[in-house]
Amino acid sequence: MEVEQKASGLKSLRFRIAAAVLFMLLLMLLTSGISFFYFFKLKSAVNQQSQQALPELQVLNSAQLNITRLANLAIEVSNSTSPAYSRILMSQVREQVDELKHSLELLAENNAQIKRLMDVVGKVEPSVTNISLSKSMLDQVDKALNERLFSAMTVTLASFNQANDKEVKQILGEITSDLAQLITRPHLYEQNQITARLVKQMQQLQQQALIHYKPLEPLLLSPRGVLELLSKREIHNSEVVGLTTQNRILLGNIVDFGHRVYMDNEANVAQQAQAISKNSNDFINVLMLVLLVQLMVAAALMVYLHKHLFRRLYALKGLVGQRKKITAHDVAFFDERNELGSLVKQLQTYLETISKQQAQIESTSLQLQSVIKHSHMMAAVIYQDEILYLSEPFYQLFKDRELKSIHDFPDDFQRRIASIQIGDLTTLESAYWDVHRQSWFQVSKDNILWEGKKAYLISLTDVSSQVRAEQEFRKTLSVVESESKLDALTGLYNRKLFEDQVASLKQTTEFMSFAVLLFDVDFFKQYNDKLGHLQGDQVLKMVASVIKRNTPSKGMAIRYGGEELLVFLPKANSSEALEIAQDIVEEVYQQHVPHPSSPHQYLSVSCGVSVQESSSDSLLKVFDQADKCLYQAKKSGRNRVTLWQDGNLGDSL
Amino acid sequence: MIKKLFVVLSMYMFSMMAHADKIIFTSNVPELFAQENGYSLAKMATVVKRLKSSNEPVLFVHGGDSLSPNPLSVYDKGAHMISIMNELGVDVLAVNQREFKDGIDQVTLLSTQAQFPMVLTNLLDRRSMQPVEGVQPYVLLPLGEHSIAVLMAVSENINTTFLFNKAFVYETVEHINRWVQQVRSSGATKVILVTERDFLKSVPVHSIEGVDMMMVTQDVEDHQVSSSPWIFASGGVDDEMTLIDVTKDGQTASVLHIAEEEPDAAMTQVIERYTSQLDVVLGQQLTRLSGPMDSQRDTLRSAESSWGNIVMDAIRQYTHADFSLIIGGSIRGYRDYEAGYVLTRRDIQRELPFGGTVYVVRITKAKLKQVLEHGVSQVEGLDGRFLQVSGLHYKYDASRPVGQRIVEMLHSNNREIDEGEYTVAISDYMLEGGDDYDFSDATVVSDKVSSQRLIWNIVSDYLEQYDEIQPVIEGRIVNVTPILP
Repeated sequence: MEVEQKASGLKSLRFRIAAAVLFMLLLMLLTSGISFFYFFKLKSAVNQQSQQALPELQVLNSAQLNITRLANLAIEVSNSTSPAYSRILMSQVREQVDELKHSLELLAENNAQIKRLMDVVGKVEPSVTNISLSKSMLDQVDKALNERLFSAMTVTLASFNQANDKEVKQILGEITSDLAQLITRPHLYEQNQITARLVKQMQQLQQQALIHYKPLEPLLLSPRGVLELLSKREIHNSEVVGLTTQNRILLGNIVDFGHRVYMDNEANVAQQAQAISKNSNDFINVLMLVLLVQLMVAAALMVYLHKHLFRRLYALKGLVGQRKKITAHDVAFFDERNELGSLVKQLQTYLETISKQQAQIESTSLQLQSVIKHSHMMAAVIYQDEILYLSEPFYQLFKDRELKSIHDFPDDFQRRIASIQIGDLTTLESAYWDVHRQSWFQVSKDNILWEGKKAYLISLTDVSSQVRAEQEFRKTLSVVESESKLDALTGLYNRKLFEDQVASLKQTTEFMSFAVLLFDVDFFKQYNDKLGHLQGDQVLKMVASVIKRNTPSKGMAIRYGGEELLVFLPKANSSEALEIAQDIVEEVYQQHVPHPSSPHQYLSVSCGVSVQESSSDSLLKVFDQADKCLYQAKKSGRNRVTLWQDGNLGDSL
Repeated sequence: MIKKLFVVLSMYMFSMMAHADKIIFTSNVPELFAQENGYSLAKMATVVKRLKSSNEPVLFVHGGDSLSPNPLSVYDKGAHMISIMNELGVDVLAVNQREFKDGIDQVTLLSTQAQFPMVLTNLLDRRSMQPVEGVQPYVLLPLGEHSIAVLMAVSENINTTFLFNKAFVYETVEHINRWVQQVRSSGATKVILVTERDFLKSVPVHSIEGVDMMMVTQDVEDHQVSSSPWIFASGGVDDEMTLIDVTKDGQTASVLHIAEEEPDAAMTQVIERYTSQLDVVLGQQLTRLSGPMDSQRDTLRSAESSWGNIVMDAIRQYTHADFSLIIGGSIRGYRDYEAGYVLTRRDIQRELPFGGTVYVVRITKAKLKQVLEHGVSQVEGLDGRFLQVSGLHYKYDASRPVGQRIVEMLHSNNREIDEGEYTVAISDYMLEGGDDYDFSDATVVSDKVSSQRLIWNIVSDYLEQYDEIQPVIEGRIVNVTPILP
């Protein structure tokens, strides 16, 4: 608890990491804040563009269109030849000017440039009106001029026809020609030359033929005459040209003005867009900065964690894994005031405890060593196959050998040691038999700390008396066991033994050539029925003793069933078997035990004999053959032996 | 008044004594408005009308170079000037270089409005290989007992200034001599060849045969160039007109000064017809000069000009180009301004009468150097191709061979100009190859819209930003030609 308290406060890792994470969280909030701030700024800027600047550009665009139309109309006015058409055009001019003024009024607020532009626009309509007026004057003069020219030519031609004087005729002819040329000559200076000539000709005419001069004079020379009209036409013409030029300049200025205002506005919009772009850039920069700070904080946190946590954790791993001891210096390194430090401190306490306990263990093991050394224990200490210590009694046991390593022990002893688990000991059955001492030793194996080494201790205990007792016990047990294999009535082996024997025979592949002799007491049931079971048992005892007597030691006499008895002869040929069977059958009959139901008068037995002829013949088969022979013997009249020969029932003997 | 009386009296006496036939000549008079130096179309008209109203025969031969440039010509391509010449009593117009500013067809169009014939002898329309339609190779005009033939020969360089190889120009003596023979055989008793200095420079003048008078159209103080052959130079926006007395044996020329004349009312009216409504535009005040400023021809065509600097700065600000380079020849004010003068649009349009537009091209440092070299290639002759600049400084040495005259070229902050590409604002005239500039390999980066504005509008807008502007000379162009003792 004391340690926990120490780790609190500013030095606490928990506090510091929490603080760093909190700081990063704050930075993230700041980033979001800045993002929102700039997004709103961008939004308002874009709004301003879309709601103010761009509509202004639209108005300006339509103004530009008005100006273009106006310019076209002005040109049409100056080219118009019909007064009606001129009036139509003028009304369109007014319409365009009104529209233009209306557009400009929308923009005029606080814009001196546009106010001035409106002044210029104000001049356009009167200017176009003047053009229209001059043009209609020009048209009137033109019309009058054409009429006069036509009249003048008509009059001149009439005079020419009337005139008799040759000279007068020539003058009139020249006048006609010049009048015609006035219409066809394209250049004004040529017209001027013609008019100068006409004046001269008229003067001549006046002098030579006043009569022809008089009707022509008002048509040509009077204030409303051709010459006057020609100069008037020129005046109006140049008026139209002059006004058109002026109008063009006005419109040109308006176009340029409009263009400039449009460009300014466009530049404004572009500037705004640039400002937006710059704002965005600033935003990106600030964001980058904040991100950088975040990254740096994260990096610092990593470094901090590395220095104060990961490095120490690693060191702690080292401490725990290798050093097993924590010094005051180590504790200082971990800084007791934080969690890790306190953990190390705790660990130090644990390790101290452990090392104390280890020291205790070591002293105990030392004590143990001395105990072992000073006792009469048969003990050996082995470390990595090397024998570190041998007690004197142990040494005595193997004194004929030079013992240095575990491999110097007798083989069976080595095996014995190898088979034992640490902390275990051999059973009595596997106890080590020492021939020299004629003694049994139980072997045990245990871990032991020996001179600081993790060795194991082999100790031997004399268990001869226990082993002997055990052997004795076994012997007794064997008798019991063998009795259990004997038939209680006859003293022959019982059927179980035979079956065990059969089983063991099955396992051995060695060719034995054995024989099975199967006996059956003839008419035993009838005997039992007539004379009672006790008398039957007596008879069976008698038969069994005959069989036992005749069975060689290698053989085995067995009561197989109630009155069925069997002799098993290992390593026997058929003659031997037949002989034994014969003897038994004969001897039983020679006992002359009366049998009231037997045709032979005395108790008799029948026998079937079969000998194993090849290794492939199993006991069962041989038994079966013997059984078949017994049956044959019974059928053949009983009290006889039948031998199985070459796969057939043999003759009864 | 006394001077005027003297002029009238002396002319009257002179005419009484000699009974000479008279030819009035002038050229290079595109300016519409009266000037401080006495120039006035209305006063010119007074003199011409007076001379023509006398008993003696008078011809007014106009040497041309006058249909443009002026503020109106940008809009009507010279039509107003034809009206003015009609009123002025011009008898023949020698079609010169600037008449072609708006192309050959415009001359044809204007010829129908003129009350005088137009003449041009040595130029064919390349499309038809015929003389320009409406213009005659020569004109025969009666003058008293004389039959005066007027021929006009332009310099071949018209193909680099206005017509850009749309014309075929005969710049040979043989060609002229052939036409002289032709007019002589058509009855001409006197032959006037109106021509340019550049034409006379490129042909052997003494080999020209049968020409009585050669009139050189030039913006100069009117003067006799030589007496044999008889050459007289006349023209310019000034108060001079040349009066030639033609006798059987020869001719003598004198210079008339018109400054003291009364303006002719009819001519004033004609000019009014063109300008009456323009005060709303032209009278607009732009800015006040806080120091003196000059737009003299010599300065504009050989050195840094305080006015040139303002024009270039305006163009550079408008185009956002790295540099602006415009030929001095496009500035035509030729005057001094006092401190405190308030500039109006009229002044600007007078200074920059060609209108003109600007283009921004992207060129390499090497090309930039080449352009500057071209600018100073004919600086000795005060050629109009001399460049006024903004954004850079340059030094030139005119004693060095052409092409090696630029001795230093720096940014305006005196920083070295690195290798690489730069945007340069130039005039449409230069881009089209005027004055032999070649930007055919340069990339135009300015858009069409921004290249539609006229230079005078660009400069007016620039000036309008300031309540006052200080014209300065700051070492943009330094002439380091050694002065020979």
